[in-house]
Parts: sequence; C-alpha cells; structure tokens
Amino acid sequence: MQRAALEMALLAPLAGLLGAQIVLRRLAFFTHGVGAATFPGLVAAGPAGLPPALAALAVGGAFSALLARIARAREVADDAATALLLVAALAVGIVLASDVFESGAEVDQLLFGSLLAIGDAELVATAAALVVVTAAAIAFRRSWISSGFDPGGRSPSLGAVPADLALLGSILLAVVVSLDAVGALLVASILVVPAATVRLFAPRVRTLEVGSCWLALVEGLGGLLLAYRLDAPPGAVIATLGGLLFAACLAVRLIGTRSRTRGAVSS
Amino acid sequence: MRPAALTVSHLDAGYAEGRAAISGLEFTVEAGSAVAVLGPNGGGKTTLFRALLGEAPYRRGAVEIEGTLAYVPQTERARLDYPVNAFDVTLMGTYGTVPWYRRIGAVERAAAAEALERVGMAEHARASFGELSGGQRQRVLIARALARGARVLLLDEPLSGVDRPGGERILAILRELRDEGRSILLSTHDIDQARDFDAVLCLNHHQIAYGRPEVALSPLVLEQTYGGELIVLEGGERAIVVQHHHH
Repeated sequence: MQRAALEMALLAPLAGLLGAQIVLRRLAFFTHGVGAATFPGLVAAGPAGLPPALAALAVGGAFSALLARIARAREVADDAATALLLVAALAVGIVLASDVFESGAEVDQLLFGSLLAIGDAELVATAAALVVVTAAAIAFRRSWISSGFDPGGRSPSLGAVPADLALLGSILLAVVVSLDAVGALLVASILVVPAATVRLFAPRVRTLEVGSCWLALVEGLGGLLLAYRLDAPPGAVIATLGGLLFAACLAVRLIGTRSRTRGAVSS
Repeated sequence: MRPAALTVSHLDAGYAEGRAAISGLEFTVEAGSAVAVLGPNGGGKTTLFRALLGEAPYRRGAVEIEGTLAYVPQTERARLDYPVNAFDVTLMGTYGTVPWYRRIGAVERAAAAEALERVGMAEHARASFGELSGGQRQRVLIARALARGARVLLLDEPLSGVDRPGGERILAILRELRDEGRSILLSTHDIDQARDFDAVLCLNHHQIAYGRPEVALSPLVLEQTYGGELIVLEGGERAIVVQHHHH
C-alpha cells in the first residue's frame, strides 16, 4: 500500500507537467493510443525474457513513429490513423496473449494495471522518468507553450522541432511508467483526466500544471483508498473517480456559463 | 539615404510542384520605412515571410537582416482558448532571448510591460487573450514582437477581421514604430492602403515591382500581380481585388 501511494506521488508531477501540455496541444487521443499500443509489447515481453518497460517503450516508440509517418503522407486524418493503429495493437496483443503465449490470466493486469503489486524497481523507474521529464520541461517548456499558443508561428531560436520531439518522447516515457499503476488502457486516467478537469477552470498555464499535479495526487490516493475499502482494482477505481470528478466539474462549469449568459441577456 | 534594415538579393525560395515558390526577389528595405507586400492568395507572400524567418529553404540568393526580425501572425492563427492573458502572450516575445537554463526575470517582465504600454494595451494586461477584440489581439501580438526587441516586423494581413477603428489604431501604431526607426513589412490585399506606405512590393510567384507606390502601382503592374482578380474602378484611378478562394 505504501509503495502504491509513493508510485502515485511520483506520477502526479508527471500528470501536472505533461497533462497540461497533452490537453493544451490536443494530444489526449495520441496519449491513449500510445498506452494501448504498448499492450502487445507487454504481452510478448515475459515469454521473450525482456523487461516489460523496455518492450513497452519500443512498441510505443514504433507506434509514434508510424503515426508520424502516416500523418506526413496526409492520406489519412491523424485521429483516424491513431484509431486504426490502436485497434491493430490491441488485436495483436489479444491474439498474442490468447493463442501464442496463452497468458490470458495476466491480460487484466496488463490492461488495467496492478498498483498494489508495485515493486522497488517500478518505483525507481518512475522516479527516473520524473527526473528526465522535469529536465525536458525545464529545457523546452517555453517552446511548448509558445508553439501550443501559436502553432506554426514558432521562433526558430526556441528550437521547435527538438522541443516537439522532447514532448512526444516525454509522453511516451510517462505512459510507460504509468502502465504498472493503471495498465495499457487507463493511462489517460493519470495523464489526461486530471488536466482536462482542471482545464475547465484554469486561467493560466501554470495554474493548470500545478492544479493537475494536485488533482492527480488526490485522485490517485483517493482511488487507492477506495479500492482498498471496496476490494476493487485500483486502476479502474482511480479512472472512475477521475471520470466522476470531471463530470461534476463540467456540470458546475456549464451551470456557471449559463447563469452568466442569462444575466448578460437580462441586463 | 537611410541604412538598410533588410536586403534581399536574387532570392528563390520555397518549393511548389518541384520549383521555387517565389523567385527573382531583389529589394532593400530601409531602416524606418514601411513596405506593403501585395499579391494574390497563393502568390508567395507567406513564403516570402517564411524565407525571411529562415523557415523556408533558399534555392538561390541571400537575405541580410540588421537587428532582430519578428513575425506577427494573423490573430485567427493563435489559439483563442489557450489559458493565457495579454501579458503572458507579450512575455512570450522574450522567450527566445533568454537561455533555457535562466528563468524569465524582472528585465523580461519590464520589457513585456513596456511593449504592452507601447501599443496601448497596458490596462488589458490581465485580460484573457481570447476575450479581447480582434484589433486588441493584433496589438498584443505586435507587443509580443516589440518585447522581443524586433527592429524588423513582418505582419501577415494584420487588419484581416479587424473593424475599421481597430484597423486605424493598428496603422497609427505601425506609423509610430516606423518613425522610431523600425522597419515594417505588411502583407495586404488592400491596394488603397498600400498607397500610404513608403514602398510597395508586388509579388506573384516572382517580383513584379518594388518601389514607391506612386511609381510601382501602375495599372500594368497591378494587372500582372493580380491578373483576372483585379477590377479597376472610377476611370482607372482605383482598383479592388476580388479574391478567389480555392478549397
């Protein structure tokens, strides 16, 4: 339980630093796609004798490169290409798990995580990823913000291409270290949902980053406690809690907007 | 004669269907002068700006720039839902001037505040960028270029989508900036507006003409620049451009 809580505490800053960029740069579906794409890598890693994180990194990297290649060809829309590759990755993963390696019992863990089984090695990997992503954010955050605000209007002195690559690489790394906690299908519950929730109210990028970090921590620890009480899988509970909070915040936001509009019309 | 702020020599740049998108560009912009860049849609105005910014490759020729160059995009290109206020956007102009390992400090904040003051937007510094009017947003984007310390400003149709009072305010600011010694290149479709500039560059994949408006804007040059998109009015003294948008 303590390791699980520590893992969530290490993932929360990633959710703050990267979640803000993922939401602002409209990379939520890409992030979900990378997470799902790691599934066949995770399935094959055990029988092949490879570290799962390394296999996930390789498959996630291949997914990103293939997606970039398809996007450059401009024959298929980005979101359609992401969906196609995502479905293909899941299908290959299921075939590998059921017919090739016959590892059906582990599929649930790979897809939805096993937060309570986190070990020291996973904690070290997440801490290392946090150091790398923090360094990338220090180096490239200004470029991430200016190119997010003004796509195509980037200053060459800000190193736009390396900055974009650093962002995508950081997302890939964050996805891979999130897999143990929430699995291939629920990485968005850490890297997207808290930031999307805070985005409803955040007036500044810094507010979004800090708010997303704290909300990811609250949802992670709250979900962990709830899962313990309910004897339910923590990854799924964290995702459900995040979804419910987002729905509640969206409702508050919509009610606020409607009452302001009515006030403006009546005055 | 004033010193040159921007010198373009024998420039061929960009790619379009296996050939240079713009070719044969040869002009000098003096410091403290304003140049209108006229041309049809797809005629190479944006490619020229991208080439000057170093974003479009040169096939031939050279560009010499004295001082810092900054690009001011159309406001429609910026993300209006991005969580930034007018001050944040202006401060972005200083990002490229500070090494990545140094924090944005008091000097940069002062430069951003001064730039906002310069364009008359200081009182809106804390206003969300997306909630400003089109003209106000364009002034904030000009402030961003000023905060960068730009001596040469490239403005991409800055009056597009801006109401008349807002447009006049922007033009007044640009005149003041020019009088302070900055150089302005402004792309526009408005031939009448171009007549008020110090010089006009007529572009349709290659340079048709460059010089003072009263000389450069002859009926023959306008016809070569716009072809069938040009309608001449009032006995040949006025002309308007009818844009054909390709989808």
